Amino acid sequence: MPAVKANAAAKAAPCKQALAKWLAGPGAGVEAGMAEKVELTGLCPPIEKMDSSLAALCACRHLALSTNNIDKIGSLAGLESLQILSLGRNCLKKLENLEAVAGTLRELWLSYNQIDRLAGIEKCSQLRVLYASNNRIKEWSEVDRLSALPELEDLLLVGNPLYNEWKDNSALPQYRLEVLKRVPGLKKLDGLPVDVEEREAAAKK
Amino acid sequence: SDAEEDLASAKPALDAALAALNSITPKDITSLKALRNPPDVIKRIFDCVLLLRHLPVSKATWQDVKGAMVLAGAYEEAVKMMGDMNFLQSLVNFPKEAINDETVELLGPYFAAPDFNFEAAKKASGNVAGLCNWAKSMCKYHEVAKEVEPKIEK
Repeated sequence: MPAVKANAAAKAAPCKQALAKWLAGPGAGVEAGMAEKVELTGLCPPIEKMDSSLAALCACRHLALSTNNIDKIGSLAGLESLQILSLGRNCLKKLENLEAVAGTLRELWLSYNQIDRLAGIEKCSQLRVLYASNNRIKEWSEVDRLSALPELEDLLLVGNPLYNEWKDNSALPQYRLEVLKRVPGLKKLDGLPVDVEEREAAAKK
Repeated sequence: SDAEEDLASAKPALDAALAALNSITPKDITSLKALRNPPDVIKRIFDCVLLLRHLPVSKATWQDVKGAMVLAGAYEEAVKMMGDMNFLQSLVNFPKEAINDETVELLGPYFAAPDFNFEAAKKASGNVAGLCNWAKSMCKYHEVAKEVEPKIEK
């Protein structure tokens, strides 16, 4: 990704223009409907709104929108092949509009946002990976929602108030058991593998 | 085997990471802490360390540094991190196997800045520039290990 020259930086970055620029630059030679990985990360000026231009990305498996200023997940209609949705380091407050990709989505990357509730995640029945560090998740009831995801194996919650509270009390082993009790299929939690002893201890809880 | 050869190719990245850390002394950290407003590139290097450790960074904001727009660094969190007496040791013991694809993607925009390299950082602030190489090496290690892991599991 080339550095942006200061004088080229205008105020807003409509998603449509950012996508057109990517298709003309790093994605050159690929039609929107053929691109499998589309990288609109760390743009200056940042993207603030997702718009309908994304609907053309019908072959896209990995849509990278991290490090922007997006405050709302926009429509994902048309992204029929989407497996990895990357929205880390934006200004998201909640999960929404995931219905269109719920059937194909395998990984959702959401770290460094302001999300306090995971309502809506239940629909993503194929989800294997959820990265949600440094958000505002406070309640165990939000972790409870993840029990509806049979494929979920890699979960990251570091830096949420829920995690920090247990960390500050030097109680991370107990915190891990509390998570595993709710999401017993996890293979990795907060970057560390779940071991057999932990799994057994959580099952007894 | 293929997997062994691939792993061996990650070794230079790991050696570079360790050498980068060994070039930094506790005294370097102390003198950096004394600076109210360190050079801009140093703040950005510390953002990368914060991201690798899943510690807080600010909302993405951009600033003009010598004609190029670069991500701004949030220094307060870096100061907090350096307050830990074991800061350097915790980087030596950093669980590199725990790095994930998202983190590597979040570091990408920092790496793209034209002055984000050891030489520029060294000029700006001496030995802590080693952290720039450390962060890059960690990402490189992850990319190699990701290719290797499935082969080992077979």
